[in-house]
Amino acid sequence: MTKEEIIAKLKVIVKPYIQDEKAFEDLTEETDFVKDLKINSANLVDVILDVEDQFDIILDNDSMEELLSVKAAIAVIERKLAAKE
Amino acid sequence: MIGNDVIDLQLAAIQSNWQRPGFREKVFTEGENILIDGSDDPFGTVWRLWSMKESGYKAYMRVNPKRFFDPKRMACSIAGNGSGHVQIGGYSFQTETTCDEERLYTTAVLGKEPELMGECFTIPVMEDASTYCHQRLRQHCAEHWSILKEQLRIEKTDKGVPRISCRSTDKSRAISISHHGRFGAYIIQG
Repeated sequence: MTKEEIIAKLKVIVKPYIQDEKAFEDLTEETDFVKDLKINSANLVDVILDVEDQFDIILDNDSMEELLSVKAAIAVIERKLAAKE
Repeated sequence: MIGNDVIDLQLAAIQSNWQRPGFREKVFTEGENILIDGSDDPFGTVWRLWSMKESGYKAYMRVNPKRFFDPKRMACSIAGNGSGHVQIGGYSFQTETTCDEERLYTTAVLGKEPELMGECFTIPVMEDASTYCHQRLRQHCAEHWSILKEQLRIEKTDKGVPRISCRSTDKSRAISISHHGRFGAYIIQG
């Protein structure tokens, strides 16, 4: 899965939880889930559970710890997908 | 070291489904899950623990300002009434929670904080939540310090922790602000 494909999937996942439409439209790798998209912390749990479902991976508490930005999410997802192969 | 967190319970019920499979395993420790299962009001207990974790996390960020997302790392214990403790990274924060049917509010401190000031309030419907909380906080400090509120500015330090400071004197205090739905709150370190 390419980085672009991961970002496209991530955008669909986070959309229901964002509270800043403009930041969502301008989403890049640098976008922060909390500071930019204003996702509330309880909904970050939903994002993590959705990422697990959509990418068919398991995120233990250690790997979700840094999951605060698009960039960090891509890195974790790529690592978990690679480990599956 | 202070932190606070307010939860609009009506909004929480709409925004989050704590009964979603996997949610509790990601968020709560074994001990916390026992508290929830044994509670007469699992919904209230879930959000009480959540606000303890959140306020404890905010207080901890002042000791070690490296952000992370792992609610399980904040381990809560409830002492009775509104009191409790949150353990994070070797620190134990003391928490006080108040709640009614509409909202839950927790403050967390490390050790004895001199004269912690603050309040939890309803945000008028037409107001921007963040702006309104800042206004109330500046008003409070202005009265307390007997200065004009225009003299006060709220800003984050380079480590990302919020403070209120006076432009003309050296007065400066750590603060914590929280808002969710219809409710806002702030605390000011004494």
